[in-house]
Amino acid sequence: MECRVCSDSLSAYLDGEVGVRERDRLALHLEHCDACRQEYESLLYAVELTDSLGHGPLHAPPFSRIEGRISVPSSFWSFRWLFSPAWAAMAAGLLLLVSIPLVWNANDEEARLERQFAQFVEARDRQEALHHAIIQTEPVGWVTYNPFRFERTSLRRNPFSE
Amino acid sequence: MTLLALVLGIFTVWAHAQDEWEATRSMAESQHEIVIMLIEKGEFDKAVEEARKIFYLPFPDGKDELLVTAARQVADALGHHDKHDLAGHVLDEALLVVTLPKQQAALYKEKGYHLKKLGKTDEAMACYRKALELEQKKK
Repeated sequence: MECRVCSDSLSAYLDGEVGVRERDRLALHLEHCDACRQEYESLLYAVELTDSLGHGPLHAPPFSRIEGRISVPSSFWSFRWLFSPAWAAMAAGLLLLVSIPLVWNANDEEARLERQFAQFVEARDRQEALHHAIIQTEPVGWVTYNPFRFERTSLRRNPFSE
Repeated sequence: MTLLALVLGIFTVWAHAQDEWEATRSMAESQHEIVIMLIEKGEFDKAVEEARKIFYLPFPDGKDELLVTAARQVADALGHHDKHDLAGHVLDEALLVVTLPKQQAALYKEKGYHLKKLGKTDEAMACYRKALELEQKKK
């Protein structure tokens, strides 16, 4: 066995995590290799020393204590403040305030346009009624109007006549 | 001598253009009378077909206003017989050939009126809105 392989497996050997064959090969190597045996002994000593220290009681929940000591650098440009509920509420309120007049104006504009169109239709209806009255009174009927002769009936004159 | 030839040339071109316009105008006049008479006879579809022929006559620039007036009159006449849908078709045909925003606006307003008479209020409003937009463009 090579010393490098032995060195890599020493920790597992100490913890009893190697197979039977591997354990025998390591034991055989450690018997004959002074350097590896020295490394093994120093490792064994460290383990024994750690075990002898024992575990003291934990005084506070460790995670909360650690968490409390972690400080996140606050930066305006990280925009984290935007996600706070207060800011979200404020932004929603502002948006509502801005959008109300816009919606109001759009509705107003639409209503104004509808009124204007209704007036246009009304005027056209009156015009139609007037035309109808002319047709009724003319003995020859408006179809036979000669635009050259009946200038007063220009509303109905043939546009191509001169 | 050269000046005289030039003047004569210009006069010939002008006279030729006048002759052409007179021929077109005369055809349009007759066609328009035919359309109105067909409407009076109650042959509405045929009237629309005949009206279409007017719009494709070779009108010179600056005479489009006559087309607008003709389209409005034909649409009016159809409207008198409650043929507002056909009136809309005639105005659509005219819209295909008329190019000036002012004239297009007049046609869209008329179309809006006839659509309103058909009870298509939303489409009528859309036409009216379009007419106003075109009038703005004109300004």
